[in-house]
Amino acid sequence: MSRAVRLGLALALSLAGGAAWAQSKRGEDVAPEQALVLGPDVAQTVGAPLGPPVGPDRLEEETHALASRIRCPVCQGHSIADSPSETARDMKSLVRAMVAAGYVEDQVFVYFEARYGEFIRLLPRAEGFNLLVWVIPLAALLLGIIVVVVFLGRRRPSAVATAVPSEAAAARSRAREAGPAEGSDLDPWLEAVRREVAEEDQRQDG
Amino acid sequence: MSAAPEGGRAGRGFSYKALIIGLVVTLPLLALLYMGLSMDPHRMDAPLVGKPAPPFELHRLSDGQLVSLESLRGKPVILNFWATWCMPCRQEHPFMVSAAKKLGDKIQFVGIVYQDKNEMVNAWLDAYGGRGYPTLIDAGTKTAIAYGVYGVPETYFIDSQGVIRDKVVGPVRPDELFELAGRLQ
Amino acid sequence: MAELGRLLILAALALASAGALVGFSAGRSGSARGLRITRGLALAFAACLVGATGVMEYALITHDFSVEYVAHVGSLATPLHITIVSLWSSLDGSILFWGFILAVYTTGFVLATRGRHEDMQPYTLATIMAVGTFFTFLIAGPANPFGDTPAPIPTDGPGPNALLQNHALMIIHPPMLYMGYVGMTIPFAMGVAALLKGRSGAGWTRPLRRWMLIPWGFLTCGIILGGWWAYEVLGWGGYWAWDPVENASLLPWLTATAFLHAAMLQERRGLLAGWTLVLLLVTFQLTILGTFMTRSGVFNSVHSFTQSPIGPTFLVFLAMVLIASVVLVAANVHRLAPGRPIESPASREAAFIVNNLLFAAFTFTVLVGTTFPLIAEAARGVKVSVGEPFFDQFAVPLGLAIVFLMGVGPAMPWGRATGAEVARRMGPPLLGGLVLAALGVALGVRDVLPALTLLVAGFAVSVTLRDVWDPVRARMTAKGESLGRAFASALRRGRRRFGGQVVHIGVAIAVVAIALSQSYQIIGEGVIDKGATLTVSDYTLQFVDARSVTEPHRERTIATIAVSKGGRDLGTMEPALNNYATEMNAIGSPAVRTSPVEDLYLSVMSIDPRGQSIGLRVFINPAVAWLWIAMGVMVFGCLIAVWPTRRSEASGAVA
Repeated sequence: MSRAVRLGLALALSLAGGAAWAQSKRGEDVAPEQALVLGPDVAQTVGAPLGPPVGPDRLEEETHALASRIRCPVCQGHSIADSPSETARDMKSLVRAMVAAGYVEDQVFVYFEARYGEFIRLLPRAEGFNLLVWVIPLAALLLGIIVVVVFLGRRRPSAVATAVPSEAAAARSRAREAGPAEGSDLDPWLEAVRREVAEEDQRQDG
Repeated sequence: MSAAPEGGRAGRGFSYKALIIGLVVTLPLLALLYMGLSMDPHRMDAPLVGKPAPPFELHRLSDGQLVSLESLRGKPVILNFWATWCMPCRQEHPFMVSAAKKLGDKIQFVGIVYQDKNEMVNAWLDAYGGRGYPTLIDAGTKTAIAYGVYGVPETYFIDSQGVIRDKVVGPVRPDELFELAGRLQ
Repeated sequence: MAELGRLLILAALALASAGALVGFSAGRSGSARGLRITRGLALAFAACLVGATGVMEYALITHDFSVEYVAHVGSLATPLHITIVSLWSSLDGSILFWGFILAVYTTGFVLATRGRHEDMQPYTLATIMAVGTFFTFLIAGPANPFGDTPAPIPTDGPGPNALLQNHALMIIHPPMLYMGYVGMTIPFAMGVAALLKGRSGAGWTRPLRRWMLIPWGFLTCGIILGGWWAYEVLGWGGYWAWDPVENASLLPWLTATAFLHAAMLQERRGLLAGWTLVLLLVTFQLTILGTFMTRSGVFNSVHSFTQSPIGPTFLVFLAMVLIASVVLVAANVHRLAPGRPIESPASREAAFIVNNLLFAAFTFTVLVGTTFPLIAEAARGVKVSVGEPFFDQFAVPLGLAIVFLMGVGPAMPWGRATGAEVARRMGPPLLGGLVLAALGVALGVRDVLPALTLLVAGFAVSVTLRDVWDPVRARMTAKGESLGRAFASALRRGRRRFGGQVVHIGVAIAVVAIALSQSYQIIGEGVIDKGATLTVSDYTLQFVDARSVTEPHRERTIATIAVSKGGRDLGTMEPALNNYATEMNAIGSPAVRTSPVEDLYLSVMSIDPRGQSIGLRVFINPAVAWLWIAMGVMVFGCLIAVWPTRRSEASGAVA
């Protein structure tokens, strides 16, 4: 089936050539090996870091937050934070190095966008035409809410609170007449059981 | 996606109001899917085209020497990203080698191996078309990321000023290569 | 062989189109003979499709490579059970399998409706046959699996897709999904028949309730099994990525769920007849849309090179279904009055209406998010992605609100509730929710979203449990029955309601499992040399060794990892990398150690050629097992509701 085919291709691309990275990675990723040296193209694209360098205490957290919004280019819609692929890991290392150097969120996105295009953002850039992806569902929801409110607000011409007793209230009053008042939610059920007993009696009579 | 059922409550028969609401909702969706059919899902945006090529400095497979884009400046460069595990690369490579032979004095061909093992690369080159031009090893995928490579093979056409003129995703067709190479000169 | 298969498909095509024509004319004339003929044609159509599927299976099992599809997916090295299921491992075969399931449903429908609803049958069968005509046309033409292999006929084939061979769940999850998708044809056809007959007044949904519940159950099962498969196979530690393929299966599930609730409102209170019908039609349309999305190549990602020829055919069919539905609804709008106004916003009706609003909003959001890349490319010529972060923004609040309503709806009375009543009905269950949330906080939940999830889920479960208990208690009070007897007779009299309550409990479990596993996943990764260890949270993982195993269709490199937790030895786990003869690259098999509290999930990223070091990714996923348990609970509840009863019409007297 096509899902398998597509996932297969994505996986094939992503898992391949596995050992090469082993040369550059040792130990636990939680505290990554040697700091990656940023190439000159980073500064060429986005200039100097706009923020202060990020220390090891917050580095992983901030890297993950950014990486989970960057699409893994060789995967099936996963972020580079999720994907186990080679490329995703290398991209995540780059993100980590940029964050550590003090590059802010927008600079990181701009760097990757300059290379891969807007496609690389898992959450579209919230401006211009892209806003429609939020506006359309929200507008539809709003329209739905208005329709529902109008619908719920409709009243019968003679709609007075006392005009039509609710099923529960009716059942309660019937129950009260029929037996010892319990005045609880059990009443409709008791009512139903009594009705059932009465039906059975009728059947037996007839 | 719904036609509001309020429409022609009073009258009997067909409700044009419901029909129009329904069509207004469904026709754009159908039009969109129709357009989708004619779009090429493999086409990817290449924002680097027209921009300076990102610099790199990588080890050469043959002797471990560092080769940088800077050092190739002055001549147009055709940069081919590939890997041993990529099927289309097998068809593409012999042609690239022969094209490099033909155009080699005017254009520098460079292969960059993407996420691979050195010993496999050597065996592969022996099997599929040989070594017509330098093969560089992209450790840590840094260069591929800098170029925005989505997968292999991908080929970048860089002019003598160091500006990326074109990019081809997937194996390059012969006519395509000569045409794009011609534009570099 | 190929010849026989083609013949059977052509016969099925002829029978289906004849059945559609005879059925429609019998529907118009009301002729009893026409109905008999239609039923006969439907059974013959089904028999031909089952026969054709049998022929394909025979060709697959006997490795008859003269059949194009067998040459495409077959291989002498493939184990028998994989060969059998490779019927649905590739596009053409999966469409044939689709036809087979339609044949099964058609047969089931014809047999189950013998002598019942005879006035509605011709149109229903005609609609089923019309859908059947389309699918057999696909099998006969654009997606023909019975083509002749061009000479020379190979002596062996490449074998099915490697991912199919990689896990047992791949064998059962597609059929479940197809059973769900294809099954939606039956309620759709019944809805169309009701429209054509002008029977869309109060109570028209009653006969098709069960026919909707059956595919709903399969779809629920298929979606979660799909997630389970992704979890066990893909090695990224998650089960849902808002991939277009996943979204395609979720969309009809959302509208079908909304329909099941709207139908209740329609039956009990005569409300929203038109809306209910629209949901029914949309559900079927979404199954077709979903198939289009997954099969046409339109939503394929960057490096998939499959471009399918069935896209245009599917789009034409989708257009016909959509436009015919719109016209049918427009012609019946005058019969589809929304019913009398409801009495009060503090009522079960109101809760159901809001529930439907939220399901509709959810569906629409997923649809917009999934198609937005197409919209953007058409409008701006730029590729954009709409991924998990976007869907989460909507799914989390909508999901929480829906679970909350899952408690509010049953807690509220039909009609009107006074303020005191609301307090009495909502109070204790809200307390139940608070208790669960407090329990969570005591056990370490520190974030707002999972705590809120525990609160609403606890609330909904409290309401459900009270609703199960109340009728039992009423019986014990009023008739003096024993607990067991009261429970049994309450169940007998309210089976559908009880099934629904069980499903609600399953949903609550699933939602809690999702919230916890999403919020508290721990990820670690690294390269370990032989004998060295990696510590992630309180687990210590030691790389013992790696070995290679040669199987007929693949070469496996299996790593042995010794696991201990807080000094306690937990034995070994064996994640692997598989190299298939037909695939260039290794595909991982993660190893999962499941416990009720958390899963330890190991995924091999790489093993160096000498087996001296291993790249390992480690996930600690809390509560994931409960998602699979929840699926079992939901399917069980669905079975309770669907199970045939002699007194099916009388059941659910109090709902």
